[in-house]
Amino acid sequence: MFLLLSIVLQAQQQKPVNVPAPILRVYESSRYNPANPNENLLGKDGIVEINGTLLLLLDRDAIRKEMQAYAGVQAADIRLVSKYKRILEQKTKTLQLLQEGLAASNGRPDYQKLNALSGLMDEFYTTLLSDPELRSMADKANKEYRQKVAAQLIDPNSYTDDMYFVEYFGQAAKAVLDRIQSAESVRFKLAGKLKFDSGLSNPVHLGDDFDEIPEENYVVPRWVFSLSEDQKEELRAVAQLSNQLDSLRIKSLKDAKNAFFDVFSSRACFDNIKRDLDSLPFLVKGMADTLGRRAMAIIKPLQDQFISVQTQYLGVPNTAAGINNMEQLSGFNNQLELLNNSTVSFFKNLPLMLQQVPNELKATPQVQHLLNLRDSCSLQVRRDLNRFEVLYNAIKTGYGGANAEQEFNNSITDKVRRLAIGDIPEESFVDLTRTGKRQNGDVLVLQAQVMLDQTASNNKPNTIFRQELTLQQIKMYSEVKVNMILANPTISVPGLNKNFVFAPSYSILLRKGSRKSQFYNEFINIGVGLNISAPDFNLDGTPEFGAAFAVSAIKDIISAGYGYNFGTDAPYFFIGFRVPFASAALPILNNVEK
Amino acid sequence: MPLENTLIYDPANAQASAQFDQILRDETILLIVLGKDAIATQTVHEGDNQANQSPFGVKRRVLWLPDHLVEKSRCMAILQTLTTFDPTMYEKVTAFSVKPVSDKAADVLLPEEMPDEISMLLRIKRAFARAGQDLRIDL
Repeated sequence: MFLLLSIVLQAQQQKPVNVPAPILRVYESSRYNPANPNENLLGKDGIVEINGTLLLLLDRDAIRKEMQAYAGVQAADIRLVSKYKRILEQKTKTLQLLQEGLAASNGRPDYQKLNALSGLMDEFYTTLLSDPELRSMADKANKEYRQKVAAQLIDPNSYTDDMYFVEYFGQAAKAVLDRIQSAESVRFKLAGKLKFDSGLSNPVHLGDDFDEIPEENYVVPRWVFSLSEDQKEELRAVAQLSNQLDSLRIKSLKDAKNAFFDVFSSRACFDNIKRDLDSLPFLVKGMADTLGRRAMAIIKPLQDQFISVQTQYLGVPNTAAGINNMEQLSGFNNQLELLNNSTVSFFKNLPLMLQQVPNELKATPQVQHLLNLRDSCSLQVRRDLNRFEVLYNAIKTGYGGANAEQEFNNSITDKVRRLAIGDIPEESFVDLTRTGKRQNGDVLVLQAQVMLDQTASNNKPNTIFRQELTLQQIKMYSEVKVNMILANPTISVPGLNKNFVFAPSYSILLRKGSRKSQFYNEFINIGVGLNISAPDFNLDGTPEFGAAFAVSAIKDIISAGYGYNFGTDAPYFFIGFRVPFASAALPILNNVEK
Repeated sequence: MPLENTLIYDPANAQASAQFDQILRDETILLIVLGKDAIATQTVHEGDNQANQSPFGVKRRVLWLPDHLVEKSRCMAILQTLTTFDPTMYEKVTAFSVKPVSDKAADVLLPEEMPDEISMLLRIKRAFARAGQDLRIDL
């Protein structure tokens, strides 16, 4: 027996501790030493006290990495977000500049604003030039842009390459965002179950921090912790910039509309011309209607055109209607050109029309007024159109890509808010005495998985951690075993003519389990205690009472001991064999629910 | 593609020097391109294309001197307003941008900075942007 014991102990020393992946480290809480975390760390096939409390230490960073890897989030993506932040910062400053200055624009070259804008654009191009990754993106964007221009899908006059770059970066960043968002929707599941010899299993509650859904697996509710704190901070900064951009964009567009409205001063000319023309019928009876109709036939389309442009681009000042994005300005140049042509045509036709006015009326103040209006309005309209063009260029430069950025940032803001919700607990306790019916040798399975938080058919969970722990009564415990002994008195007993006497007995045994060897627990399993037997040494047909010190091993298949027969006053030693009756636990040193 | 925003300096034209003077006096951001090799030619075309933009109403123009040596002294005088410019590099210069109404260079483009299409585009854009900075124009 001692030989066997020494073999087992040697085997235990040679057996390496199988350290699991660091997603989760499991200890018996009473044996956890914070000063030396490697001490008493439970290996993959560890053995734990069946009545103990487990301490689960979760490594958030390792879990985050696993989740990132599962979702395909690469470090390069995070880096791109960081770079995109720089571009957003530059864009924000550009919009700040434009919102400060647009309303004050007077249609002349503005060197002060150009100075500020140039500084920002210089910084933007330097960023692209100095960063190979961004430069490569710009190259792709440029090639795409030129192809679209060649295919006449883009009008380079209303949609510049700078605008296209920003849109392109916005879309690229959106793609990164989508990948990050998919990482956020990865679900982390930590489950525990107790496997019995029968093949059945029971779920195990893994601590109050985990979900309380009483299903087979205890599923941790959606935790969004796929990014590190630094990365979250980076995204929060981008989100903050987005809010800033949003308010700037709204204010700038409002300023732009007001500015457009302001430069539309030539509307008054048309009002005056119309009023004068309206008054002509009252001066010339008979001709008036015809003249008036012809005049209106000329002026009406022009008025309509102005009203159309005004409605489309100006909306109503100080409201959100009107220009809301760059796409609305697409084709503005063409409309401006048409408006210009119509205006030129109108002022060219006006004198011809007025020639039809009878000579005596040509000297009237109304007709003279119309002729004067023609000269002044012509200049005014031309000036307005020039101012439109300057404003248009300013808006074109400033708003390029604002919508794409906004779309990106609106979504990122929402996600960043979610990032702050619920951090995974770093530790959890599992009280094994509350796991229900269990017995030595039962296996506790701890398993962590990551999966996408959706019901797609290809959504296969990935097991990132699995550990099986065998439950065992390690501390001293008691058992009662029924066995048959062969008792051999060490002195001569009258009437006894043989060496061994069979006797029924039971042993009250004390045992300790091993944390290191399941072979010991399952097979060697030494117990010491008291053996009570009923031998009949004197062969009189009446069993005597014998009590002995007993040692039992090999699942009680064999036992031995030394005792005393109180009926015949004879000491004896014995060897014993287990009989196939169930063992029973004594209510001392034993609180395992069986 | 026609060069809509480019003035090609023709030494045979008696007005060429005067045109040079005039374009420097104009309220425009100027990109002066030197030489007629492939990079210079590409720079002219790209510069002309970029000159279609006139942020805040400030126009851009390109002046092309196919011969490096023509108007060298005046170009050198402009370039030397940049403290970082090395005069021995003159014949390597592909282009430089000039601030409006100032005779002051803003940025110098060297061929090695423009190994590919995108680098050239970004360098030209930056040259125009730099010429729009620190302007002292009292209008």
